[in-house]
Amino acid sequence: MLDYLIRRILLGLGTLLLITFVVYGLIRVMPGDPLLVVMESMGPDKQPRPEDIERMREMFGLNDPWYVAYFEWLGRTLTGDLGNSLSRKAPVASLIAERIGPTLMLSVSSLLLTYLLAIPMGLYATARSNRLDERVLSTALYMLYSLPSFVAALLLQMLFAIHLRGTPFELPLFGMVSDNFDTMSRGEQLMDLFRHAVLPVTCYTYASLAYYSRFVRANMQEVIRQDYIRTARAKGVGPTAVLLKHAFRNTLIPLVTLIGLTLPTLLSGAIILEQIFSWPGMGKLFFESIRERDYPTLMGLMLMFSVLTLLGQLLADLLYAIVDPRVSYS
Amino acid sequence: MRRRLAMLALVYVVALAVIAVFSPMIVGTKPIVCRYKGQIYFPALAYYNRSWEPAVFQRDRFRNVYVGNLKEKDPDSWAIWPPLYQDPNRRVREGEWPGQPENPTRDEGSPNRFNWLGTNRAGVDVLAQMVHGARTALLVGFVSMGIAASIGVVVGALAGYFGGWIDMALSRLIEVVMCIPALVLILALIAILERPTIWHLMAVLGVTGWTGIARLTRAEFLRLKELDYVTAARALGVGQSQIMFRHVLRNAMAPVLVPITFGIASAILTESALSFLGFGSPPPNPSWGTLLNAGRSAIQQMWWLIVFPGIAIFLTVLAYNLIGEGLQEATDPRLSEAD
Repeated sequence: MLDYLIRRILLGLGTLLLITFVVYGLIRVMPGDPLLVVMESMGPDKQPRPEDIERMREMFGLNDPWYVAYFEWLGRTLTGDLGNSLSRKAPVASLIAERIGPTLMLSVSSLLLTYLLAIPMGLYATARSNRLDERVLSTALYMLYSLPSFVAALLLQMLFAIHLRGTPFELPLFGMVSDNFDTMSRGEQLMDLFRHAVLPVTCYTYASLAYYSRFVRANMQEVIRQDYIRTARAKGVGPTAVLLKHAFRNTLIPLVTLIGLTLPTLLSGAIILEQIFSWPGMGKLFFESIRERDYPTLMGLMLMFSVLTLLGQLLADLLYAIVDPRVSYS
Repeated sequence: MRRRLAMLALVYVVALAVIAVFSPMIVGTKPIVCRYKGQIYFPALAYYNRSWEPAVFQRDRFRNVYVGNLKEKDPDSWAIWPPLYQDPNRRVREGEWPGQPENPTRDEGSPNRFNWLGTNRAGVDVLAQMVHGARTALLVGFVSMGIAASIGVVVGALAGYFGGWIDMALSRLIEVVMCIPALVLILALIAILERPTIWHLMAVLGVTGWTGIARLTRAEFLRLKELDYVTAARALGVGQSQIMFRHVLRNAMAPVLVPITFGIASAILTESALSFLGFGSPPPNPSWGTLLNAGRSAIQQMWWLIVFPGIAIFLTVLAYNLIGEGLQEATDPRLSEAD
C-alpha cells in the first residue's frame, strides 16, 4: 500500500511538472502581455516613459524566454512563494485566499444539496422502477442534465430578477451582496447573502443532481439483480429494508469514489456561472486574469486546479481500496 | 420507451442537419438561382463561403441587395428566392422586398409577422441567425469531434495494442490533458490566436476533447488483442498496423461511438458557451451562443434573444445525449433490461 502511494505521488509530481510547463508555455504565447494591457487601460497622457517600461519588463521577467521564466517561477513556487499579481499589486496567494470563500460557499452548498436530494431520488426511482411517476421523474432529470447551465442561469435571471420584480419572490440579478451590505445588521446580511446565492446555487446544483441520481439508480439496478437480494426477499425482508439495508449499502462504493473526483470542482468553481452572476470567486478570478494576462495569478490558479485534480484521482483510488476490501494495491 | 426517444432524437438531428445544410435556401436575401445577363448564377452559395459570391454582382454594384437591382439592371432576369426574405448578417431595409417593412431595431423587435423570432438590437432577424447558426453548431460538432476521434482512436489504439512503455507514455499524456480543465485549456489556446476563426475553434475543441475516446479505445484494444482472431491474423503474417486498424479497430468501433456521440453534444455546448463568453466565432458566423450573449446584455427587455437560442441549444444537446445513450444501451449488454 505504502509502495503504491509513493509511486502514485512520484508519478503525480511528474505529471504536475509537465502540466505546469505546458501551461506556462501556452500562457506566455498568448498575444499581448500584462504591461500592454495596463497601458491600454490608461489614458494617453499617463503613459509611462519607455525606460520605465523597460525597467518593469525586466522586473517582471518578461524579457526572458518563457522556459527560463518558467524555471524561475518553479524555483520560487518550490519555496512556497507564488509571486505577485502583475495587474493587481497583491501577492497571488492572498488574491486566491480572498476568492476561495465565495467559491466554496457556492460549491459546498451545492454539493451538499446534490447528495441530500440525489440519493433519495435515485432510491425512489429504483423502488418505483418503470412506473409512470418514475418515468416522469427520470425523463425530467434527463432533460435537466442536458440543459446547459448558462441557458438555465439566463432563464432563471429573467424569471426571478425581472418578471417577479416587486413580488416577494424577487431575487437579485447578480453580485454576491447588495451595495448597502455594510450598513445592514447581522441577520439582514445573512438574508442578503442567501438571496444572492439562491440562483447560482440552483444552477450549480441541478445538472449534477441529474447526474448523481442517475448514477445512484444505475448502480442500484445492477445490485438489485444480485442473488443475495433475491435471498433477502425470499426470507421475507420488507421492500424498504431490502432497498436500504441490502441493496443501497452495496452501492456506496462507487458513490464514495465519486467524492474524490468532485474534489477539483469544489475549488475550480464554474467559470461561466460565476461570470454570469458576477460572483467574486475563483472562476471569475481566472477569467479576469486571462483578460489581464496576469501570468503569476494564472499559474497559481492552474497549479491549484491541477494539484486538486491529481489529488482527487488519488483519493478516489484510495477510497476505493478502503471501502472495498477486495481491492488492494499491494 | 428509451429506444423510441432515441429514434425521435435521431429524427431531430437529421432534420436539423437538413436545415443546416440548406440554410441559405430556407432563409436569406440572395436568390437560390437566378438568370442575369444571359448567365445562370447561384448567389445563395455565398452564405457558405464569402468568396463564392459571383463577381459579376460586385462589379455591377449590387451591394448585397438583389431584389431591385436584378430587374433594374437586366429586365429579362429571373430569380428563385428563399421562402423567407431575411438575412443573418444585416438588417433588411424598407422597400427591399415588396410589402415587407423595415426590420425594427433596438429593443422594439419582438416577434412579429415578418420577424417570427424577433430581431436583435441592430435589426438583424433572429430566425435567420438561428437557421444559419445551426450550420455553425453542426459543423463545430462534427469537425471537432472528427479531429478528436482521430487523435483519440490512434492514441488509444497505440497504447492499448503495444502496451509497455508506449502505453505508459501515452497514458501520462492522456492524464496531463485530462488534468487541465477543458475550458482553461481552450481559453488559453484561443487566446494565443490573434484573430481566431471558426476553424481554429474547431481545431482547439478537437485537440482538447479526445481523452475520453482514447481511454475507451485503449481499454477495448487491451481486451480485444487477446482474442483468438488476432493471434490467428498474426500467425498468418498480417502486419501490425493492418491488425490494429483493420481487425481490432473494427470490433472496437461500436463502443467507441458512444463517447463520440456524447462528444458532439459537448462540442456544440462548448462552442455556444465560448460564443456566449465572447470568445467564439467572429461576427460573420452567426452562432446560437452569440445570440444568447446579446440577450444577456438586454435581459431586461429582449426575452426572445434568450428563449429561442436557449431552446435550440438545449434540444440539440438533449438529442445527441439521447442518441449516445441509445447507442450505449445497444452496445453494452449489461445495460439491456434482462429481467
